[in-house]
Amino acid sequence: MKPRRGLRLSILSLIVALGLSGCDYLLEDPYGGYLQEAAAFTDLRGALAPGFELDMVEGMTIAKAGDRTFLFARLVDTSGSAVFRSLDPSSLEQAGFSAAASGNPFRACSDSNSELVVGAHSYYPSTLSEDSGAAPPEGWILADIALGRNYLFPAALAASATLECRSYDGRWENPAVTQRPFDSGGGQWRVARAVRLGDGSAVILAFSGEGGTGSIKAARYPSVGAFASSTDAAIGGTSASSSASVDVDSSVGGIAAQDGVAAWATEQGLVVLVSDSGGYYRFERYGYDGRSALDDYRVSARHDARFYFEPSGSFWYLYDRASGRLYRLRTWWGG
Amino acid sequence: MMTSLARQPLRLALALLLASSSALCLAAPESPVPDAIAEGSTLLLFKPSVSFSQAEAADAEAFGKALGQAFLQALERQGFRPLEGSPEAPGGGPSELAVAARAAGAAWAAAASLRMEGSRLSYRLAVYDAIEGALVSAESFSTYAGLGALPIMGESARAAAERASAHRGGIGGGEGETVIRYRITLSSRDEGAIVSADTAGSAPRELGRIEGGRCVLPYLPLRVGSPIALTLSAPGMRPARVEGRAGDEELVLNAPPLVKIERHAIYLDTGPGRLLGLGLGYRYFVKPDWAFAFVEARAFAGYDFSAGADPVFHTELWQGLGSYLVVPPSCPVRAGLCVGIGELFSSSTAAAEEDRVFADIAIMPIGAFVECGIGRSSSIWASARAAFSLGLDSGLLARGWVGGNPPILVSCGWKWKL
Repeated sequence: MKPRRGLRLSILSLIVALGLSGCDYLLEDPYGGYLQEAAAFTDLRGALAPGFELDMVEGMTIAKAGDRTFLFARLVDTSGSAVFRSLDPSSLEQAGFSAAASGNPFRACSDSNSELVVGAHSYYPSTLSEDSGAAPPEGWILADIALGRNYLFPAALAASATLECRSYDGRWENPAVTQRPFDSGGGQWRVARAVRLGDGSAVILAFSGEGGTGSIKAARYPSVGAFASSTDAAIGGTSASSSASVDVDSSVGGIAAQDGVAAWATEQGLVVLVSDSGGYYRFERYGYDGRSALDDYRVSARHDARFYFEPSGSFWYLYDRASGRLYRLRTWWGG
Repeated sequence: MMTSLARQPLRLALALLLASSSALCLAAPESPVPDAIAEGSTLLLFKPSVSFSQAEAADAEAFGKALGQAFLQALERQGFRPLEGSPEAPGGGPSELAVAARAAGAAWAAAASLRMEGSRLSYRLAVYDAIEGALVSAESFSTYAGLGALPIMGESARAAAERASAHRGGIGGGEGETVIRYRITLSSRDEGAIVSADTAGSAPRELGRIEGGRCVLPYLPLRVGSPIALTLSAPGMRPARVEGRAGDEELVLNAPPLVKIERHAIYLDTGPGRLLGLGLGYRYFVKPDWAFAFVEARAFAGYDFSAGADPVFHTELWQGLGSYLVVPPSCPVRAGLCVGIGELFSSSTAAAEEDRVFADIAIMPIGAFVECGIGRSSSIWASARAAFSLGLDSGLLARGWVGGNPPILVSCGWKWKL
């Protein structure tokens, strides 16, 4: 073979090899792979009040207030002060309600009275004016409107291997406490998220690690009441009241540190951000049966992007800090 | 003016001198006699042609003999081997002399001519190669027709013989002791192309043109083993260099086809992330084969066919400058760098209807490409580019490097020349 022909063949082989090596790369929009999944996007910087120079969105969550649904975002300005801002989750337009950032962890949900709980305060659903009554304690809240009960999961474990659930009868007083063993297998764990799904089931996520890099455990319960009424092991180990435990390691630091944990419960599975490297984030989606990942998804975004997945599993949100733009994206599995 | 009576002693003296021939001719300094060269040293010395008016006939004949004798001895001293006898020079020019010499089996032809007009004597000595009659050495002089002319003629003969001898030894860097006895042929498909020889320190010397697919070069007395470098050129074409080495066998060099000099090129391209579209580019070569300015227009859709995806449409306009690096144009694979600026337009249905078109500006501080020639005027190449968005408010892109990881664009394309 002539050397010249060999060289040409080598170049062609390289091109073919590049082509075969990653269809994702070949088809990815060079301006941002997620653009084609966008259902809506908006520039958050342009819609904020004068004087508020947006620096970062530190967390997002969907919450209902009566018949209205809000996407709450915890916005931090360049001076470090934070505010909860509500957006229409479909259009991403400002919904006109904001509240002082308070409480830890960042939460926005409705309680058994259909009042809106944002941070450390409650708001009447019709007027969105603050309820000056007893403030809900810190922790994750899952409400059962039919039973008129609020279940609260403190982030910190009651003991090193005990997961606590406090059940309230509507008022934030005199809870009934359930403590369930938590088969952690060692390490310092905390309740990182508690999510009520559309079918009434509840997903509890626990996290162990430093700065967000660590292990995630999750289990799905038929109802939040099922969690509270059972005494067997919660998440992990053998549990008759929950799904099998989903155990995933995440090496993503910054996001988990600011947003509780880099994992989100959806009706189609648990989405975990498992890695970020070189401008790419990789998600894996797990079913609640504890088996291997259902699929994965890689998206190019800057290292300080922020994410949130709706519990419905239909949409997810991406905040690009560099452009100040918030995107509403269709999920890759078509949920 | 010298009278006829006054010339009587001169004739006597000439006769005496001719009888003892060498005495006068050897007034020239001795020079070492080179070793006889078996081939290429044979020489045919034609009888000197003498012209005169009737009054000087006797003197002219005597001077002619003296000139021929001096030339013969000088040539012998330089290692030439004159053939027996000195035939009359044929009419015509050097070509006829060469033909006659070749016919006699000589490699060289030597001719002398003398003319007397009154008391003036003028002569010319010349040596030609017998291959094609090329003049390799010549001397001429004009003087008073007296005894003083004889040593002058001897000196001229020595100088002409020496120069011819230097030529007989051959040229070129070959270590062979013999000189090629053929004319080199260059074959080429480029009719009318000019063949020239590379000569150090001066402009190339034109040797001929391609006609009928070949060019038989003038005879070059190259020593066997000498390298030869020729250049084939034609207007609008990239010159081609042809190299060979003179051997005992007749040398026929084959020139590669000449390639057009690129002034314009257009190309199509696509690449990762841009597969659902096409780019059209134009290059104008400011310096042919090396430096160019380019403009590109590219339209494509970003779409990965996944559930929930909608295509995002992009149009890119790029302008810039580029240059090949180091490797000469004749190399099939070349690399280069480019810089540019781009106007990028995007449209997404996800944006509000009145605000669906986004305009960005990006600079390309560096881009690299590798190009592989295919055929005479087309090529395929791959380029890697880094683009930095300025982050305009009207745009889709934030300020920073465009693209994911790695932040480069890889594309391939084809081009051809106008």
